[in-house]
Amino acid sequence: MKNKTTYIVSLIILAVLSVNAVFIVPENEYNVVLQFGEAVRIHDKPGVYVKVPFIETVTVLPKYQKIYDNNPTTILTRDKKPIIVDNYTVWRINEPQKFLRSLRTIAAAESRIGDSVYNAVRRKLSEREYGSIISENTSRGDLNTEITKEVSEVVFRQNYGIQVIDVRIKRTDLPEENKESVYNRMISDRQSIAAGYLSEGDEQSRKVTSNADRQAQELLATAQAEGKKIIAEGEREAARIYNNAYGKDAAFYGLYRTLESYLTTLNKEPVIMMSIDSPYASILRGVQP
Amino acid sequence: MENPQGNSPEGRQPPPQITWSTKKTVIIFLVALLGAVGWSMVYTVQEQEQAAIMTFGKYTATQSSSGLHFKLPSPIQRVIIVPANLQQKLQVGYREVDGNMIPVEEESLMITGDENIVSADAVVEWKIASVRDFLYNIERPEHFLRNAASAAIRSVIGSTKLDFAITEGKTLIQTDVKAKLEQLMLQYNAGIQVIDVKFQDIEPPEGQVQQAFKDVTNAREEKNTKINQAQKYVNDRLPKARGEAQALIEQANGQKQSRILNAQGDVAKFNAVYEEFVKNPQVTKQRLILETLESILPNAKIVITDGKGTTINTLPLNELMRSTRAENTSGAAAAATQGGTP
Repeated sequence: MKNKTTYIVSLIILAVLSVNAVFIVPENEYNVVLQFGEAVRIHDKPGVYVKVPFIETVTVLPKYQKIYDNNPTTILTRDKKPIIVDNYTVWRINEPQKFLRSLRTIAAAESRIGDSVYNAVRRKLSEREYGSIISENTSRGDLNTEITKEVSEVVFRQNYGIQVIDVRIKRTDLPEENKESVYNRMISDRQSIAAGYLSEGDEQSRKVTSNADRQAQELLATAQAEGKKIIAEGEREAARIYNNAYGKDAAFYGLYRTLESYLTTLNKEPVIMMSIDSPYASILRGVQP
Repeated sequence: MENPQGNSPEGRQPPPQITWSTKKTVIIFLVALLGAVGWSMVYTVQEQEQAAIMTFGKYTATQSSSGLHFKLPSPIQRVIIVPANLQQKLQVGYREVDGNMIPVEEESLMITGDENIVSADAVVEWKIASVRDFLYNIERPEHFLRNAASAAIRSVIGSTKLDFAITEGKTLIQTDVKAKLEQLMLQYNAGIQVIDVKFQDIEPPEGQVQQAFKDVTNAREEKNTKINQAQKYVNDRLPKARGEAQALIEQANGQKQSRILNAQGDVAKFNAVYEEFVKNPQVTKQRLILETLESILPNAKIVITDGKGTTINTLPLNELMRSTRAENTSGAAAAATQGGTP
């Protein structure tokens, strides 16, 4: 019985030891084997590994890329405009041994990254014009690329064992009071555009209507002139007809026309002074004409 | 993310019974262990999912067909199931909560290339392109995507002018943002495929600013109204003027024609009389004179003078005529002599 118990206990101890001695490294982790706090082996390939149970311990570090949200920074640009810039940083641990020696924890790494990004962003942006920060296009190319390059150089020099993949401006904003003044400018911009539209409407309207008035006037004047010409033609034709006819005997025409005009001019109650010697009256007096 | 198939505890602790021998305990224990191992050997993959299979931590296979599948027991093989075939949506600039759109100003407000402020919100449609990259290259994929999308949108808007952005620029901005985001995903090896970037709105910030923009739209409408009204005036005015002009011409033509016809009529009459006159000038002349007198004299007041310019010996014809026609004539005598002696 005692023998059996010893056997079981030693079996259990063996099991515990073997479980502690074997560990699996997944794809996205570095497993660092430490012996009394000192890194002795680094496993960066996935698979099953062994260690000395209890004497050696394993620390896990991420192999994947991490994203760090930097704190928004207020910067005065070269043209003295305040701007709030919000960055994010993509980074990863590429040399776990160095990382453990210099930083040890993710939080420490993020704090260092935060500092370097802050410095780089501050310096780079304060020597840029506001407009080129907004559009990210500078004379030397992409602003994000420049900042990334600078930060990753700094981090590399510090031997932190980390790699900065990208530093990118996520957001640019204006301090509240500047925002207000931008809004006011936008509003006044629009007001002037609106006023422009209204006046343009008046302008176009006036142009179109006055043009129509002119055309109408011209049409009428042209028609009047044309009409006068037509009437004149009529007059000429009539005169020709009259001349043709009346020209045959001017004397008779004189008589004929005079008599005709008497009919119209003396048609009411004319007073006619008639000489006693006139041919018409002569018969009244008994004188033979 | 990790599959739930671990060591299942079911049936592992049978109620201890003193009467049972150690052998029995060992058998029960082994059965329970076997059950747990068996349980960890199956897993299911849904239609929209894929499973990543790890053998001793190493990514060895992807199970992309749905259904029940077998694997080696934990901890030898493990599976991670991801919705790899599912098209997922990420909202930037707003969040949808119970069907309501709640704006996130921090994300939506941004500065345009001409230093104005615009509000933009978008939906990024994405799916997992590479299970391996998605699982192992990045931490918190959604967070990566959101940050990258924000950066891409902001960057594109930052080089776009306000007026273009809020009017016809939407499609171009979408294309640019998508390209930029794709490039970032590639750069981060995120294993994420950007299917589409759709902007809900790109508009001026809410409130007074937006009102000012609406006022511009109204003003533009008003301008068009004014122009239309002017055009209406033109459409009314010109045809009328043309009609009027035509009327004037017609009138003139009528006048011309009537003048000519009158002349022809006059001449016809004249010619007729003249023909007779030629046949017998003396008689015709007399007749014409007398006929004229006949038609004039009945109404005329005739004063016969002695030819010396005085009216002393005037016959009282006037008075005679007046008495006979007293009722018919007005009191006032007609005007002075209008013709001479015939």
